[in-house]
Amino acid sequence: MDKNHLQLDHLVVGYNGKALIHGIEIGVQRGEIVTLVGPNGSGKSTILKTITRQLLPVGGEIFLSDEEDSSPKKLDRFSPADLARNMAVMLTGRLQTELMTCRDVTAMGRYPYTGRLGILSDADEQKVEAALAAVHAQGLSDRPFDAVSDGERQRILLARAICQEPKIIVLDEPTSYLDIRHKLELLSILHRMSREQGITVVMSLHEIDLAMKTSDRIICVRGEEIFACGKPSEILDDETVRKLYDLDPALGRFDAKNGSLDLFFAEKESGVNADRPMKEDTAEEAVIAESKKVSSKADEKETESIAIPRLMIAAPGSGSGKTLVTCGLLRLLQRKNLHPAAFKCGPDYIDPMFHRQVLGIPSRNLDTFFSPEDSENAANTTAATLARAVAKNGAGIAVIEGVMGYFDGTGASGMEASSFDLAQQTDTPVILTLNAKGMSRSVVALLRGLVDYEKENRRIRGVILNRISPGMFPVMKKWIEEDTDLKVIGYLPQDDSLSWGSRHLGLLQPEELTGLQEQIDHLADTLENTIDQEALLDLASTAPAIRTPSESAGKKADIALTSSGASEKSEKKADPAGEKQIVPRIAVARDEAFSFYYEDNLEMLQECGAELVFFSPVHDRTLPAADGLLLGGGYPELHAQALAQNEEMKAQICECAAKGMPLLAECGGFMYLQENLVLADRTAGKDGADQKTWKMCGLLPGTCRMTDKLVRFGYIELEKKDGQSGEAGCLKEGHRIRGHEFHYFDSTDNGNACTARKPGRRRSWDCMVVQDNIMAGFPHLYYRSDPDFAAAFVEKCRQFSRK
Amino acid sequence: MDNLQRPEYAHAKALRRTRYTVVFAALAAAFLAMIILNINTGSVSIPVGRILRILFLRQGEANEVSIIWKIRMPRILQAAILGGALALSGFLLQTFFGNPIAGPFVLGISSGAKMCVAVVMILLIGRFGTASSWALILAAFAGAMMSTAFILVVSRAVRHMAGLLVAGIMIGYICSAITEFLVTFAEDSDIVNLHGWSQGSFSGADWSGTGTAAMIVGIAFFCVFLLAKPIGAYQMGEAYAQSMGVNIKRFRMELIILSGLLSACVTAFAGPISFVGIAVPFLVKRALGTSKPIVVIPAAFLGGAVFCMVSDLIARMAFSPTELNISTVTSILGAPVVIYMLIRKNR
Repeated sequence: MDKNHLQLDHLVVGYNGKALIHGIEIGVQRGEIVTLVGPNGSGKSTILKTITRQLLPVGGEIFLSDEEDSSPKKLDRFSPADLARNMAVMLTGRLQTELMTCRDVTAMGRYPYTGRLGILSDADEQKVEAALAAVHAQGLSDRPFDAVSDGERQRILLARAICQEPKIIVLDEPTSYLDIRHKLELLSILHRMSREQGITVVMSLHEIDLAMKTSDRIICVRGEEIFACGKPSEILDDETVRKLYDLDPALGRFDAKNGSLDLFFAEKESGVNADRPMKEDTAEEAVIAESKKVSSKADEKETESIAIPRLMIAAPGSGSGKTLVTCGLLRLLQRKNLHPAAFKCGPDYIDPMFHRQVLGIPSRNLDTFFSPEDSENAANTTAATLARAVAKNGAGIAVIEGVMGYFDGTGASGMEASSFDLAQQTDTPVILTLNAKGMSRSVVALLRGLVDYEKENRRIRGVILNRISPGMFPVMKKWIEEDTDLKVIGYLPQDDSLSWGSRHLGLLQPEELTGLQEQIDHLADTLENTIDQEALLDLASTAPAIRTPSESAGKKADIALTSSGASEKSEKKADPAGEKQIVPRIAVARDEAFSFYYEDNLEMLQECGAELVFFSPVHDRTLPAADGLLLGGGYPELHAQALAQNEEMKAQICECAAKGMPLLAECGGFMYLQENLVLADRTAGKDGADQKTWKMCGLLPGTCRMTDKLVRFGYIELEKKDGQSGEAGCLKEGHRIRGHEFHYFDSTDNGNACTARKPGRRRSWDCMVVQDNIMAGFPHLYYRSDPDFAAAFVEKCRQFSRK
Repeated sequence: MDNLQRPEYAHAKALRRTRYTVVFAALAAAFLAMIILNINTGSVSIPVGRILRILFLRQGEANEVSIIWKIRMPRILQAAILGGALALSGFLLQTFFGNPIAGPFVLGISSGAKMCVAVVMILLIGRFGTASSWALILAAFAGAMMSTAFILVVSRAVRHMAGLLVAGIMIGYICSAITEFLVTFAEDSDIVNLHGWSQGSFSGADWSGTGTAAMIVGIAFFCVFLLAKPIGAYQMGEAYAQSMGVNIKRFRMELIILSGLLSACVTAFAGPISFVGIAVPFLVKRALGTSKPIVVIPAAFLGGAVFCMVSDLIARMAFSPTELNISTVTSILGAPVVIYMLIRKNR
């Protein structure tokens, strides 16, 4: 014992006489590096403060030996000045200074050695220089201390301690706020001091790997006791670390040999995360693998459950950064090999297209108006659609991008078809992202308002703060987590380079794609550091398993069948045996002019037994051999010239239609089938007259003209117009199909075979041109909302193919 | 490790020295200029030549000699001494609370002193017809300590500065209310005197009071100067100061007693004077470009003296012959500085 430099003898530490940790029995030898590790709040700082005499021991004694050979003295026998010449400290927390240069701060270390007025002698000045040199900070000498970076501050504070010429130096979390480079620099200086000058180092560290590699001895502090104490290699193993920090075995493992943390939830990139302190509270399990079927239980014979970790990114309003955060997260999840599947709330085509084309992630629409919960059609619920897409793509996690504000929808309540509605129907945990620029504490009030408004079945569980400064994040996180039940997942700092805001995403050129890829990679890089990925995955895995009616299981079997060629739809009315064999081919126009297709619509055509072939009315000169033709919406007006000049294609379409080939066209496709498309000249890119008329197919009568506002837009329900008998195209008597309209064009002949009704309102209008084999009009239809619609179309194609 | 003095540092050091010299020279020049201007200014106009003769040769018309020696000189010196004391008191409180907005006025220390002085004045003048300056200083010191004790108790419960300032302002209001109450029920003859004094003014200055003030403030200044070293350490925070060998308990006690003594002295002679204690140390530190106590202490004292002399000149002359309260002027000059500090701090 008498050889020890510092001896803690039956020490009891605590505050105000209340004991926190008992029976601390540690001897530190001269020149040793001793590190305290342990979770936050375990009492590391309390021990260090007691050693530095900021706190009085509650019990026991501290001995410190003055000179090399002298026997240890009780700490309270040292006068303040004596102790200062023996022991220097470096404290955690930020130092506020006013008008002090780094040199002034460093020179403070000479305090115990200067005279009454504290004036520095030349010898003192040289020691200050030497201390600055030791931490490689001479260049900072005359810079104001409050204007240098965190890493520089810590080095200056270390220089101050060195300047005090202590024999023992006590540091409380000296590496907090530092990046890896600065951490290593700081630790290397301490190491050199200990080895070359025999200075004893006692410190606390959060980074268990660094502690292991730099320390001669490790002391594990946990709650009321010293948990373990000894050489790092002897005491630090997986079990100790796990017990010390109360780690969840499912999340990671401490690799004692390499001194690193292996993270099970991010196998590939574990190295990146190893450095981060582990969180104390990790919930049940982060189960992220391929989507798993939790086999259907006997007593629930009609349904089956599929466990799908899932999340919705929603917002208090548009412009909160939903798209940005969603795209960044998708790319991040993709990089981690978690196989995300993307979903977009609402009828919009563009975001799913963006997910598919730019991110290469399967993406679909989920819309509670198209797929009402109370529908008798069990295959057409949002939950069933979600489950189907996840199963089909073998996805590991589903990410739903919300639409507008979380509660903003339509219908009488104003909340139908809102993100809220979808989250409720699919039991999806919601992460709110909000633009917190220009706000601080008000964010908490805003969040509480949103959370409270959800009344029951609260889905809002987490928050990602957008456009805040990294410095504000911990403060805001604390506020939010104090006053709400929400988990603050992370933030996205303001970065003006991260914005593809108003650009028309449907109109990407390949060269633009590269730039976007870079932006999204950059975004994902950023999020990787600012998002608590564990918390994110944990939240996603709290989503209950999705119950889908067993009918959808039957459907899935169908998908497998259709993809391998043979096809059949589980329909009530049986087809004659011979017809089952016929697989009608449907030619689908899909290029830059016609790009708007719901993935589910195409899938449904396949389920009904059709084979799809794709072609381009802009580029292709011949129509592929087919038994039916589908023309979706898109931007024909932007490619009017190419479409008009592709006479071969126009002629073949008219020819096939004349032969009776079934033809279905929506919006842009409908415009293409009419006689003329009249555009303002600037769009057409020619000079001369104000307007330019382009000849389209001329299969249907009418001319389309651009207007300056949206014509008849919003959700609609379509049914055969009253007073007409039989069926309208593929729409059977008494059947209704849901869809939406969204177009700036209006035709001289919009058709009048059907009536479109806005939900919950009186408003209705005529639409759809229906001839014996043609059905075309402005509405975009969602086939699953009338299961017979797609079947009827495929059936017509089948009959045509038999001719 | 011999000569490590790098040329850059030598250069920076020389620049610093030059800056200090310039600031001190400017303050000294302003100090002299204010003394001359103050002596030369008044409702009776006396040419400079005659003033010099009166000052140095004590020759001249009797009434002019009286005006200069009995009215203007003690007032000027008192403004200088008490102004310096106020600035110093503010600087000590700012160090103590680690906040640049702390000062004797906002923390209610001046008001506490004022209240005790009012009590003693009414009692003593009522009984004996006079009150010695020592009795008043003692009363003021007791009041200052009382307010400080209250603030210290609050500061244990309230960790953040804003709460502390609110507490200070509240105790200020309470003390002022009690003072007003006493003034309302005091006998007529006392009221004019008391009322003028309770708003703050140098108009009552005489040589004996000035001598007493000079002595007390002189001693306090000397003590503060000797504390320059631990004050510098304390600016880095209590924990660091302790680790460098400062006896924290004793040091805090010294700070409180000295700042209380200084502000009590001011209050006893001139009543409460606002904002000097905050504005002057701030301006002086900016001008010097450092917060090193060893230069800030004398500079703040000089700066406070100049600031109060300027304020007193304005108070005397702006609406002559009506005299303004000194606080009216110091508030107009000092409050914008404090507002600027707040804005800058929150940026």
